[in-house]
Formats: sequence, C-alpha cells, structure tokens
Amino acid sequence: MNINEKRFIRFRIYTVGCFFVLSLAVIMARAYQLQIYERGRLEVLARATYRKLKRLPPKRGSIYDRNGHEMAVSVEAWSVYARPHKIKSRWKTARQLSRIIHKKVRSISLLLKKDRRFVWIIRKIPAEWAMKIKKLDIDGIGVLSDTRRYYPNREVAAHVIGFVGTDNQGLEGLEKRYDSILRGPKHTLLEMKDAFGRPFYMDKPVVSGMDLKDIYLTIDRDIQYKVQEALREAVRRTKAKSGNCIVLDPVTGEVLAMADVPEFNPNIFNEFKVSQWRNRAVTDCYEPGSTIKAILLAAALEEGVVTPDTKFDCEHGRYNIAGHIIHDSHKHGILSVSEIIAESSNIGAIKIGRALGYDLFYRYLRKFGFGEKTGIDLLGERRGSVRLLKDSRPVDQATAFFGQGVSVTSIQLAMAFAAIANGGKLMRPYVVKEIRYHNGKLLHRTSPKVIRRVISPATAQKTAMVLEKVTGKTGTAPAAAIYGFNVAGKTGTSQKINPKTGKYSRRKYEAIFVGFVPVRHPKMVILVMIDEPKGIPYGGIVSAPVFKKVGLWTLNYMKVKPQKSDLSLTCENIPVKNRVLHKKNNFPNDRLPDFTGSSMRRVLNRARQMGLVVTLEGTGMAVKQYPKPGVLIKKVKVLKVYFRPPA
Amino acid sequence: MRGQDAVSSMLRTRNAYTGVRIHNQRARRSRLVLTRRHLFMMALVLFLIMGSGIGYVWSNFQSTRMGYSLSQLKEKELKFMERNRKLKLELAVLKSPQNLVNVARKLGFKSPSYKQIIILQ
Repeated sequence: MNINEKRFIRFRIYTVGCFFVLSLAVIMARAYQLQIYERGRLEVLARATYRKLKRLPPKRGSIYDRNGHEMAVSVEAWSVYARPHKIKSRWKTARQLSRIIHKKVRSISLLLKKDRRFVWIIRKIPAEWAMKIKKLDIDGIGVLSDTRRYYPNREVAAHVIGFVGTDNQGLEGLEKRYDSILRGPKHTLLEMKDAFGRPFYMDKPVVSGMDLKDIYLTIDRDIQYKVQEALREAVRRTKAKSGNCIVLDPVTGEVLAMADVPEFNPNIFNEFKVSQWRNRAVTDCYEPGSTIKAILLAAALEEGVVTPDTKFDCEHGRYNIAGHIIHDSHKHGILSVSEIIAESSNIGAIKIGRALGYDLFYRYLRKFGFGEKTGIDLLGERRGSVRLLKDSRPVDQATAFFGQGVSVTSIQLAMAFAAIANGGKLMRPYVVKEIRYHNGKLLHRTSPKVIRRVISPATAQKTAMVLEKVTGKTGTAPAAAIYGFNVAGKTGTSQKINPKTGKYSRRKYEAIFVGFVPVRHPKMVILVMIDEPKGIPYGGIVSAPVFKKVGLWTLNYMKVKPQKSDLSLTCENIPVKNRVLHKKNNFPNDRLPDFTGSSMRRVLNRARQMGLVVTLEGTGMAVKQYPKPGVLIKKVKVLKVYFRPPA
Repeated sequence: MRGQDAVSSMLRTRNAYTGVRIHNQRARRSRLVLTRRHLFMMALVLFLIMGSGIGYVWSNFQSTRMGYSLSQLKEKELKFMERNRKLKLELAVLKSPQNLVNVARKLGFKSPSYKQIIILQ
C-alpha cells in the first residue's frame, strides 16, 4: 500500500466521519428546535389533536319537601341544533328530522332557512330520539347533551316552587329566588383520544358532590296535595274566581302548605296564563273583613279597655257615624265582647274600637305585622296598607275596626293569627328549611325567628278562648268545628271595590276563614280565602268547610290525638250492640269498663270514644288491662290492654 | 555508583534549545484486567438498564390499556348515574299523591272516615 492509497483511505474515513457528525448535528439541531425552541407551540398543537374537553350538561340542585320527597329534579335530555350554512338539502333534512322529532317539516325547514350560523331545532328531547338523529349523520345537524327539569308532583306546590326556563334559569318561585344556589357549576370532562378516536383517558368530572346544593322545604307534599284538593273543590263548588290557602306551624313559622287555585303544571308552564303562575298568598292584597276583629279584640284585651264579658249596645243593626249608616248582617241588642266576636257584629266592633282608640289600634295592627312584609323567603311579597290616624276620617277609622280600608296579604293574616296561637309571639314565616350539599352535608338550616312579642301570653289565651266561640253553635263558623278538637278562628266576608265606580261592589266578595287548632297547644294555623264566590258569600259558609276538611285530615296525618271527648258518643248514644262489652261491665259512664273478652277493634273504638290513649300488647282477645276496671276515666293517662289468642 | 549518577544526570537533562527539563521515563503499557467482580457489576448494570427500559415500556403500555378500560368504565358510570336519576324520577312520579290516589280509586279503596282512625301510642 503506497502513500497515496493510505491518504485516500484516510480521506474516506474523514468524509464518513464528517457525514456522521454533520448528520448528528442536524438531528440535534432539529431535536433542539422541536423539544426546546418550539416546545410551547407544538405542545398546544399536539394536545389539540388528542385531548378533547367534553362538556357535561349543567346540573341543577333538586328541591325536596320536608320528608325528602322529590319536588323538582333534573335529568339528562338532548337538544338538536343546526348550522344552516352547512346543510346541503334543506327539505330532505327537514323531512328526516320531522320523522323523529314529530315536528312539522315546514317549521323545521323555516329554521334551516335562517341566515344564522347556529339555530336550535328542538330542545330537551329524549335520548332515544337524539341517538336516532346521531345515526343519520347529517352534515350541519348535531345533538348536544342538556338537562331537563321535572316536577314529579305536577301541580303540587307549583306556586311555591315555580319553574325554570329552557336554559335552566329560574323564572318563578323558589327556582328564581334560590337560582344562584340551585344552579350547579358547569362541568367539563377531559378526554384523550387515540388515532382511531377511542378515548384512552378520562378525567373525573366532579371530585365530590360539594358544589351542587339541594333545597329542603318546610312544605309537606301530602298536606299540600290535600289542601289543593280541598281548595280546588271549594272554588269549583262556589264558582269562585280564585282562592288560596295556607297551613303553617304557629310555633316555628314553618309553612306546611301554601295553595293557590287556579293551579298550573310547571312541567308545561307555557300552556297556562301568566296570571296563573302568581303566588296569590303573598302577592295579592285584599281587605281582611271581620277577621281583623280578632286583632282588635287582642289589642283591646291587652290594653285592658275591655274584658270578654264587657257589654256593648249593638244598636239593633243600625249605627250612624258622621252621617254614614253602618249595618250589621243581623240585628243585635246588648252583646258581650265574646258575643260581638262570635257573631261578628260590625257595630260592636266599632264600639270596642272606640274604647281602644284608633291610634292604639293602628299601632297594634303594625305590631301584628300588617303594613310590612313578613320576610317570607318568597318573591313578590307585598306590604299591604294600614291608614295612619292623620289620613283617616272618623268613618274610615270606624270601618277599619271591621276590616275596611285595611289591605293585607294572606300570609300576613295567617301570621297574625299564628301570633295569637303562639302565646303572643310573632314569628317570621319561611318555606326553605335546609340547604344541603348534594352529598348530604348541611350548608344552612333556617331557624325559627321571633320578630317581636305582640301581646302577652295571658291576652293570647283570652283571645283564643273568645275566638273558640266563633266555631261554636252560636258563632258564625260552626262549619269549621272539628270533631274531637277545640278550634279557634274568625270569619271574614269583605266586599271588593269595583274599579269602575271606586265603590264597594254588592256582587263581589271575598270569603275568608282563618283559625288554629287545637286551641291549647296549636299545631297549625289554617287560612282559607276564596275570591268572588257565587251565591252566599260568607266566610263561615264558603271557607270554613275547607278549613274543617284540611284541619281534620292534617290532624290525623300528624297523629294529633283528639283532645275532647264528644258528648254525642257517651254510652247512652252508642248502639246497644256496641254498648255492652262484657257481661261484667256494670260500671258508671265516668269509670273505666272491663275490656276482658273484647276484640282489639272493640277496645280501640271504645277507648277512642272515651278519649283514652291506648297501648296494646299481643293478639286475639283482651285478657288483662291496666288500670283495672272501675277506675275513674279522668285519672287514666294511658290504658294498657293485653291480648291472647283464644284457646 | 558512577553509572547511576550518569543515569540520574541524564534524566535531569534539559532541552538544549528551550531549556525545558526533560523527564524521560520508561513507558508503562496498561493492561485491562477484568476481574469476576467487574464482570458481575457490568452484567448487573446492563441488566438494570435493560430492565428499567423494558419496565418503562411495559408500564406505559399497561397505563394506556388501563386508560382505555377506565374511560369505558367512566362512560358506563355516567350512564348508570343518569339511569339512576331517571329511575328515581320515575319512582317519584309513581309515588306522587295524584298517582297513588288514582291507583287506590281504581282498586276500590276509600279514605277512612275520621271515626275509623285510631291513633295508638
């Protein structure tokens, strides 16, 4: 090998070496460019190809009643959209969609004709329809996941709960009032897809349920249903324009039911008139009529200007005040304060009012919450109005004592009676009991709130005793009396003002009954207001039966034991076949009979007639009882009866 | 003795032109000697490198595979949750008072009168 050959070999080695070094340098430079210099831009580009953000439909918290029954829930639905500029054949597409969504071809075609980049074809359709549309795979037509609000109890508490719009925004009622709380956050799901579009990674959409909140109401679904049923029936029977009814707990201020007729179904709220959506119990004001006499009575008793036995001359139904003649529905002579209230004498009320003075009466009206909002957690509440002393003429002052010239809402009137039932404490009414996170953790609990003390417990008790006579045989509302319970209440029949003449109408009335039961330990205040009933318009005839029906059912539902034994069910009035329980039963009526040998049904019936609380043990026939037969019934607290199957 | 001095003086010689001291020593040839321990360590390192490489690839593969099944399960979970919500809604509709009253009427049930209701303690 000569020196030239050696040089050539060396040259080749250097050339190849240089080639490799250069290649490596190029690779390194490219790697630097991709990995470091353009890293940010390229990373974004790469992510866009394999990472997809899947938007989950926005969730909305549920609404439950006090017992956890669903009142409003959201479930998945689908919405169909179109991008009109991408659609090739409008009529063909419209026909294809029409077959699935059952919408007219023409209306779909009109939507597709629009000069917009995006139009909704149909919102909130079932998943099956959406899948069919997806399968069609039409250019410019797509489906999006959405949610739909359902109200499983339909009309029940619709006026309280309200409803949401197509974009799940609260439009009425609690849905609107608590929209910011019920509205859940928008969730996105991070998805990574491979070259074939298969997802190979999915991030959790929600870490915990902490962000979604549910609302628990004070409303009891079953009481609400019964109230609506009774009210609907009364409005239909009296051919009235509308009506509302409130049931509330006087001790806490919790609203157990709030009904309005005419009703509406929030699932299809668009099919009803706007006026039907209004919660009249808080938004509508009216003159309370004679129901205000209960407030007058409480004020007069508290100030000590009268006692239940103070007597007034009721002028035989005709009384002149500053040239205006005031009439009573029935002519009365001398009546005591109790009788004035029980028989609802307007002239008697004027006399009590004059003894009290209008200024004091005005102050008590304000103390009872009239002329100001109750603070209930519902939208659209109105204040009502009470005339000041300086703004009222003598005749205005006189008529205010029987409820004319004063305007109130149903919730104000119910709360004022609740104050009497609650020993003089005015409470704040509320419908939202709790707000909880979706996982059950408590976020907020509404506590009963005393607004102020209005009257003393003694005055409240005296007032309740007088109001109890209203439902007695001589009162204006015997139809409100509930078997086995003492009921206190007051009727009211107020004339409506004719907007054309500006005077009181002789045809249009409002029939009101508001009361509480049982008198001693009140469990509920019930207000019934029926607007423009046809025929006899008196509150004692139109509204009192609704009070009775609702009260009776609710007391049973709440398992409240009867408090007074009905005299018509003493031993003398019981049919002979039921009277003799056993041959040994020779005890007087006020003593405990011998139950041995009786069936369970017979023991229960008899014990109930005697107003006894019974506990039963075993099955079959009664073999033993405690206390023993012959003990004074008054002394028996609980009767325990043992049963054994017959041999 | 003289001979040794001559060698040492040779070693200490300087370059005549630059004056830089020259250290001339006998060149030593280094030899790679691999002991058993060296071989074992090398094998271990190689094994570790290869093992970690295979392990990395395997874990990536497993992670992707599990990712597929996880995303499928997640899809299923979402579907079941929605189905559960719908079933709950259906139950609520069936349990609504209107529905119960209608069914009870069809079956011939009647509301008990007040006198028929006895409250027990």
